[in-house]
Amino acid sequence: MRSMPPALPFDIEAIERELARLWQSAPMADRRNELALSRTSVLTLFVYAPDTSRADTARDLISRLSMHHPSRVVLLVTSRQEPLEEPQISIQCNLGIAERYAPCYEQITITLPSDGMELLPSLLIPLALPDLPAFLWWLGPLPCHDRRFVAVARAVDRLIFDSLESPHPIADIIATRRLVQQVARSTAVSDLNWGRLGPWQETTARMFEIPHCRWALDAITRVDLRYGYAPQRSTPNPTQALLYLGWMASRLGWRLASLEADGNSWRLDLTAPGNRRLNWTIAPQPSEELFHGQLVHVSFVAEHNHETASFSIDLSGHDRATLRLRVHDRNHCVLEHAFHHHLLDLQRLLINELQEVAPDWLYEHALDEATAIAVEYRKLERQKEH
Amino acid sequence: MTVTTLQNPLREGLRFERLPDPCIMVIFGASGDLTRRKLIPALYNLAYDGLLPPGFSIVGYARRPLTDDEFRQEMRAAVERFSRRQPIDPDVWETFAQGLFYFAADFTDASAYPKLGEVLERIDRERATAGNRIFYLATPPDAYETITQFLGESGLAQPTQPGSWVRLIVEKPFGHDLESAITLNNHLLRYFREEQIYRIDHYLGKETVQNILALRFANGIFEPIWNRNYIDHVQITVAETIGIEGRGGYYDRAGALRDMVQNHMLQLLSVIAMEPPIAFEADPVRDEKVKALRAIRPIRPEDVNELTVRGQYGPGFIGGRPVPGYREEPRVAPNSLTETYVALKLFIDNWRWADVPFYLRTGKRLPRRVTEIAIQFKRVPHPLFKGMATAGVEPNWLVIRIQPDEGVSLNIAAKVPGPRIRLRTVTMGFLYGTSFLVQSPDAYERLLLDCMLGDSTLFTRRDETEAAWVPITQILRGWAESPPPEFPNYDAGTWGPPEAEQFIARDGRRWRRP
Repeated sequence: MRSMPPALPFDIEAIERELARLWQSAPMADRRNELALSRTSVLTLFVYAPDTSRADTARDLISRLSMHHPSRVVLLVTSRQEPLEEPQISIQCNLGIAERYAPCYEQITITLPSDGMELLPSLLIPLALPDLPAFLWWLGPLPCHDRRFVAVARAVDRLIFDSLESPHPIADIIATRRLVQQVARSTAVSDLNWGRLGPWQETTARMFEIPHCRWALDAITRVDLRYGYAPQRSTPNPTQALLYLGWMASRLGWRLASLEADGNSWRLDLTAPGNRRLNWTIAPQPSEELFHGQLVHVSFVAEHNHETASFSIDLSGHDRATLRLRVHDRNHCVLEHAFHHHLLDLQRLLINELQEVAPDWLYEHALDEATAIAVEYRKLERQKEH
Repeated sequence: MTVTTLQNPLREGLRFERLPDPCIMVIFGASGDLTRRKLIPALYNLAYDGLLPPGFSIVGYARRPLTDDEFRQEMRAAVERFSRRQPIDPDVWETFAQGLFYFAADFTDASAYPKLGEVLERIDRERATAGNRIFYLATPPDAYETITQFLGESGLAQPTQPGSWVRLIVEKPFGHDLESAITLNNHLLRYFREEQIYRIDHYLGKETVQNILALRFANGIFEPIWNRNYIDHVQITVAETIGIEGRGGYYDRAGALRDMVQNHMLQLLSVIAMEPPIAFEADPVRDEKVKALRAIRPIRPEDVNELTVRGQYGPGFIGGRPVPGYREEPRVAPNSLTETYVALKLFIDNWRWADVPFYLRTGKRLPRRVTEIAIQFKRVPHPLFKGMATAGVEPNWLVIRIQPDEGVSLNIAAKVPGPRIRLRTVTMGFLYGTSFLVQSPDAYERLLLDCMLGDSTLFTRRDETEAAWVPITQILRGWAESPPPEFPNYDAGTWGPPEAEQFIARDGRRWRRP
C-alpha cells in the first residue's frame, strides 16, 4: 500500500486571512516619503525549491524580481526536518523604485515534506489569485518521469523549468515531450534552457537576412555546433544543442537520416527538401561551469554552384556575454555583428518567461524534433549495449 | 545566384518578430548636442539589445573636419556619458563603430551631396545596406529647407535600388505658426513623398500613445462612458520644475505655447479625444487624431483672453533652492514678454465631446515635475448620501500619469467601515513599469527603431501638424492684438499665476493637485 505524505500543519484559508489582516494594518501611505503604497496583481508565481540551497537562490531572485513586480509569490520549499515550519507570510513594499508609488507584493513561504508531490495541487489551486495566470517555476530536475507530476503541472497555467538541471538529458527530453502532450490542454510548458537560445536563434535568423547571404539558407551543407561541458560535471548536457537543431529542422523541413556517436560527439546526416543532404556535428567543448550545456559556437557552411559562404556565431567578450556573428565570403570576413546575450542572466530569462502566457509552439516543434534525435540515440546506445 | 529565399522561415515565431532592413542613417548635425546626447546613445543601446540589423551604418554629416576614427572616438565618449547601458560592451562597441563614418561638409554646399551619395554607395557595397537610407535632420530648423533641397536635387531623396527605401526624420519645431508649417511641409513634399517623412515628437515615443489606446480600446468598461454624457471635463497638465536650461535663445522666440502645447499637449489631447481607429496602424490612428484636432472649436481673437492665461516666472525656490526669474536667464531679453506658463480651455465640437471643456496647462519652474491627463466624471445624478459625512468625497477621476511613475489611477468613493455612513475617496492605481517587469525603452530608441521598420504610427503626419497649428495660431494672433500681461506674474516654485486659478474657478472647477 502506498504511504501518504503527512498533512501540512496549517490551514490554507488562514494564509488568506493573515494576508487580509496585513493589508488592513499596513498604512496606505508612507507619509514621511510621500509615497502611496500600491497593490497591483498581474500573476501568481509559485516557486518550488527541492532543497534549502536552491531555496536561497530562489529567495534572492524573488527579492530582485519583486523590486519591479507587485504580484503574489509563493515559495514552496522541501524540508527533511520534522516538524515542518509554519508558513511565513509577508507583504513587501519597495520604496525608491517610483517617485510617488511604492509597489507591494505578497510573499508566502511554505515548507513541504520531502515526499509532498501529491500535496502540491491542493496548495497551488487555492493560493492562485483569481482570474490571473499562475506560473510554477520548478527549480532542480523536473520530475517528468513521475506520473503524479502531471496533476501538479495541470494546476497552473504555465510551468517553467530548466533542462540544464537535467541529470539524464536524453531520457528527460523524451519524458518532457510526453509531459508537454499530457498537459497541453491546461498548461503551457517553458524550458529556460530553450529561452537561452533566443539570442542564438535571432542571430541565426538575421545572418540569412543579410541581403547578399539570403541564398545561403537553402544551400547549407555543413553545421558545426559546440556546447560547453564543465569538467566537474559527470555527463555533458546536449539538450540546448538538440533544441537548437530541432528548431532549425522544424523550420526548414529537415529530417534525420542517420546518427553516429563517438563518445559524446555526434555526427548527424539530415535530408533537406529536394533531397539535399547536409551534415551536423555536435560536440561538447571544455568550458567554465556557467556555460555547461550552453551553446558556445555554431558555424555554417553554405555552398551552391561555385559560391561558398561561411558564418560563425560565438560567445565573446571578457564575460562571454556577447554574441558575435562573423560572415565570411570565401576566406574574407565581410561583416561582423554583435549584441549582448542578456538571457544568460537568470533574472532576465525568468522575466521573459513571466511575460508569456500562451504555449510556445516553436518550442514544442523543436522539442518534437529533438525527441526524434534522442530516440534515435537511445536505439544506438541499446545496440551498442547488446 | 539562382537559389533565393524570399521569406526567412527562421524568423517566424521569434520574439524579435520585426527586425529592420539593413540601412544607413545619415545624421545632419553630427557634431551637435542632439547627436551626442540622444541619437548615438540611443542607437548604441539598440545595438546592445540586438535590435539593429547586421551592417547598420551611420554617417555623421557636419562642417567640422574629422576623420572616421576621430568621429568614432567622440561618439564613444558620448555613449560612455549618455547611454543607459554602462559599462560599454567592447565587442558591441567594436562592431557598432565599424559602421560609423564621418562626412565633413557644409550643408549649404550643393557639390557635397553627390559626394555623399558616393560614400553611401560604397557603404552599401561593403556593408550590404542595400540602398536603404534614413536622413536625420538634427540641425537647427533653418537648415531644413537647404538640406532637403540638395538631397532632392542630387537624387538622394529617392530609392535607387529595387525594393530599397529612403526616409527623412525631421525634428520639431515644424514651423512657428500655421503659415510657416505649410511652407515647410510644401517644401519637404517637393523632394520627398509624405510616407517618407517622419516628423519626430519624442513625447509620442514614451509608450503613452499605445498605453492610452490600450486603456481606451482594449477595455470594454471605458469606451461606453468616454463621452459628454459621463465626463465633466478633462485636464492635461505638463508641469516642469526646470527652467530653460541654457536654451534661452530658442525659448525666448518660441514660448510655452509653441514649445509644449502645439506638439506634445495637443498630441495627448488628440489620443484622448479621438474616435476608435479601424486598425492599430499608422494611417487609421492618425486619421482619427487629425479629426479630433480639426474639431477643436475655433478661437476668435476677442475670446483669447477668456480662454487662455499666460504667465512668466519670476525668481523663487525649487526644492528648497533659490532660482532666478526667467528674465535673468542667459540669452533672454530683460524685458521679455515670452510666456513660460500657459493655461487654455479648448472645446472639441463633435458628438462625443460637445461642451466638454479640455483644460490644458503647462509651465516651467512649477513646484512638481508631472505630466498627466485627468478625466473627471460627472457626479451622480441624485445625491443619495446628502447630509451624511461626505466631506472629502471627490468626483470620480481617472488619471493617466505619463511621468513620473507612468500608470493609471481611479478615484472612487467608498464607505468608511463602521455603523455610520461616512464616505471617503480612495485611489486605485497601478504603475506600468513595475507591473510588467520591464523598463519602457527610451523614447528615441523606440522612435528610431520604428522609423527603420517603416512604422510611422508614432510620428506626426502633415495634416496633423497643420491641424495642431490652427488653434495655436489663432491664440498667437489674439495675444498679439491684446495688451501684454504684466510679467513676471508667478514665482518660481508655485503653480502658476493666480489668474490661472480664477480662470478655471469661473467654470465652477479647480485644477487638480497632481
